[in-house]
Amino acid sequence: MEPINLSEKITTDILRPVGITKSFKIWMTALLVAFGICIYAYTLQLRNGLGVTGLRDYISWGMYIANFVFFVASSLIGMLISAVLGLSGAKWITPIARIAEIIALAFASVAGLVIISDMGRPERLPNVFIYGRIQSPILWDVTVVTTYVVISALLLYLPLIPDLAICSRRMDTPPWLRKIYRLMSLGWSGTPEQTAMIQKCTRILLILIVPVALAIHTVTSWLFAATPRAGWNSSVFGPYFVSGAFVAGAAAVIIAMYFFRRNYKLHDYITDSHFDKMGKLLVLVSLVYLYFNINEFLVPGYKLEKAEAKYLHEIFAGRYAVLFWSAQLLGVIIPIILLLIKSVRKPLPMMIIAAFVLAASWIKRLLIVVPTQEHPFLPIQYVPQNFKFYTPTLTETLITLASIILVLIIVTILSKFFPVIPIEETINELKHGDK
Amino acid sequence: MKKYGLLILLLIIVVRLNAQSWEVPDDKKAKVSPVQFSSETAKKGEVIFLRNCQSCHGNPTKGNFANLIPSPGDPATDKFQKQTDGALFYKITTGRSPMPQFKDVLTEEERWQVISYFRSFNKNYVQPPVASASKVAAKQAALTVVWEAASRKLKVTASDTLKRSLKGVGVLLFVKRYFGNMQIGEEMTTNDSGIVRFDFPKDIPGDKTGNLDLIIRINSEKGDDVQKTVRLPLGVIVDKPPLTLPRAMWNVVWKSPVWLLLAYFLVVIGVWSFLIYIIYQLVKMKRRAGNV
Repeated sequence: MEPINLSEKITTDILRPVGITKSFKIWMTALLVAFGICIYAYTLQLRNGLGVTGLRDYISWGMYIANFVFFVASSLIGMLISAVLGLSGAKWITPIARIAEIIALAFASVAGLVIISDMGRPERLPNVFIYGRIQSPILWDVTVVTTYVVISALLLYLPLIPDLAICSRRMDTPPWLRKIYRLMSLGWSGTPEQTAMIQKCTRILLILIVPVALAIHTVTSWLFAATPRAGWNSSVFGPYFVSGAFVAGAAAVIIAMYFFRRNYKLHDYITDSHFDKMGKLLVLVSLVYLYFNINEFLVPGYKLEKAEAKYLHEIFAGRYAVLFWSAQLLGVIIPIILLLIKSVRKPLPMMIIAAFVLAASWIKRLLIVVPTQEHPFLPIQYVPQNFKFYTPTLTETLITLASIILVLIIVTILSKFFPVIPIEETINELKHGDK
Repeated sequence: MKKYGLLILLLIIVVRLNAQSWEVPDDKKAKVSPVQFSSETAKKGEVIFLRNCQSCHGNPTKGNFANLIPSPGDPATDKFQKQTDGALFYKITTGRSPMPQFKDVLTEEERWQVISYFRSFNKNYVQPPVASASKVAAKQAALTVVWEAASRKLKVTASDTLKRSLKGVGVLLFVKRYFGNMQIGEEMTTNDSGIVRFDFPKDIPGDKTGNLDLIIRINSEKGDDVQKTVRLPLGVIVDKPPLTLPRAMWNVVWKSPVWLLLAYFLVVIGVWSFLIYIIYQLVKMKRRAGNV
């Protein structure tokens, strides 16, 4: 096949799903309706306060904070795929790098909103900045999450610029959309000067995102580890969170890859080989995560220090045992074993495994946040029975669901208006491959 | 076996009864207010109630009291209204776990005002005759305080406006602390010359110069307490540098450790200067393309 025809084919293939289609309208309407229902739940919380949730004096961090940690975790995958693998020269990531960046941006930008949903009086948010203490990990977290959102957005945008120029030249796109594409392409014409600039800036971002991404989740872990409480008082919390983040993010990317490939008919670009490699990557990060899990639970479990013992008992054999063991088995151990088998590393089985891994990651965050608070050093006394244990309410669940739907909405919009696979880069790589 | 069962049952009943009942001595039950309850006293009582009692007892008639054991209850209900004024006064005064005692927090007059507020929710309440005029109309009393260093005693002289000494008057002594007043010794009664002498302890921490704020109070049966505050250097000198002086992790933001400020701002400025550089490059690219 002629190279020119090939690049035309690539462009057509990748741009085929871009634009407002009928299925997009149906899907978006469904998402928006669901989102609207969940927003109604939030208006209840705004009107009546956090009393509508299961949060009380002793357990004041629940589903919201667990969800926040999960979102921050999932967003880390952008760094792993684009930066760590990209800088080390792994070429196979080209078609999935943008998917990873879209997921990273969507999760990271909604994470901040999730924190606001945990505030009974969100209008007091400015006080965090006005009276914020630089000594508090909360301020560091706000700083680093904001920075990560900006870097992720830039890292999504810069490699997109050449593709935007291609989009703006397409005739079958509505004129208003073409105008937006042209505006966003910043007058890209592919001159050597422009190419050099984009390459240089992308490289800076790829290097910059590594420490920032590590910081974002390490600082999130410090929100817990910086308090001397049973279950949080751990020195491996930083790497434990980061390794868990890669697991959650890799699973999210696999699920996204599966649906983009199927719905956008990108079988030629996201191939079985990509799934095979992502499967291996998931095994690798899961093994690291398993190693930190063993450290995190075996060491205090061996000592069974008084306060830790009560908390660990609840997790290993008490109220949370079923959740804990199913998260560890179905979300870490069994996926590792299954994904070691070559025939399992195929799109559909991997998508199902990834769904389990992702769900388990979410539950695991809940298990990190809640049980510790049910076992403070001083006994919980003189309070109503429902203050002693955390049970999320329907309202709270709907509000949490709202944030997940919002992530889906952002992912949908980004993947519908922009090519999910880098066109320019794919063409370039093929050309280089031909040489 | 059966015997033991019965014993345990009895024990449980006794324990349960103990948990529920709050015995008030008969003479305390019979105590009556020296203050005539009025809408004015009830209003004053409401202010005190909202500040000190509402967090557990909720708003009277609303039944929104805290769910504690034993239950605090709603003051507007029969649980409270069936008790005598004296019984309520005793309970407010002495408290029991987890209810604190208000002996040193509220004056007697204030405690009666709270009861007056409770009674304002009871249409059927008729106040018993006000306690007979006491030995002293406290409002007319004046207190003079003299420190007798040699014997370490605090001499308090109570007299009326005509400088006649008041005998047989109960005087209490407190030292003001951070969270309330600490009583020194017991209530003492003035002698024929209107004088009481309190033994004063040596070891009460004072401020930088050893000053203590002393509160001397005459609890009048009529409810019009007299109180006098004097500042005397009777305490131990405590001159430690304030904990908020040095830079520290737990201090206010402008006294945070230098290394932390440096680390935070260097990292933030470092990372953001790259980001701003990149945004600047993009703007430049757009401008150049526009010129072409």
